[in-house]
Amino acid sequence: MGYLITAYAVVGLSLAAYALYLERRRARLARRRRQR
Amino acid sequence: MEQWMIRSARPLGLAALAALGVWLYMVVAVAPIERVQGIAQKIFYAHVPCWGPAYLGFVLTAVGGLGFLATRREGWDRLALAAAEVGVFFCTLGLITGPIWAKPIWGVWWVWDLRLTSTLILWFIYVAYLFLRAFAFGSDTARTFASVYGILGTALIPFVYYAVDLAQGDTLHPSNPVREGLPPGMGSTLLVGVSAYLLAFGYLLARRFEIACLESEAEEAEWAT
Repeated sequence: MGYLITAYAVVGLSLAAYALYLERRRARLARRRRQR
Repeated sequence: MEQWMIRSARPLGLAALAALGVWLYMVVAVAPIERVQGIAQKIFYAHVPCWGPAYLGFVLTAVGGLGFLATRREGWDRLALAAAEVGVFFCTLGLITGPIWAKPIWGVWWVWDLRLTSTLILWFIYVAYLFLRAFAFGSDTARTFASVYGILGTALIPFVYYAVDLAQGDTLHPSNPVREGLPPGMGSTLLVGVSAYLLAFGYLLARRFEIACLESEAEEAEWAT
């Protein structure tokens, strides 16, 4: 059961972290563009 | 193409969220517990769908590279870069979830068989591609070299996919499941998982593509000042 939870936690957290990273990076670049 | 891709990010993200919810429900409630491997077999539904988006990302890197070499338009180059990064992300997920499944079933985290070794080499090829792009940013020569590199990298994909057959039994890795057929409940859960991962791939690709466009604009604005 531990292996199962670990595998799904890796997938879920990685997807969430990568999506959040991309959203924040995009928002920062878009903000800079508006300021130019 | 650029605006269409950027606009598709939000609907793809929402669809991916919904599909991932359905997939999790199916893993818990619909997919049966396999008789031999027990509950650990359900890692299958998290591990196998990683490879579709990983291979698709690497193929799109080659498509972007070919498009750039043919037209010299930066949009194709941005597609190649975005697809490589998202492809490496899913390949990494596959390489992490694989050993987590292997340990309770095979008793080892990793074996140096043909499938696992060739997959690791494929991962290194595209990680090297990302390093190349990161350290040779903006140069036209680097873009051309990266395009050719990205195209050549895809040559390994068929070898990775058919590595289990090529190994002729000298592997612990199970054969490709699609051709074998799966029992009821397993096939539908896998299909929903593959769809959810592909939607997530589409969303991440669109977002990463938009970032590449914004970075390029920022770079041009810096040069202009």
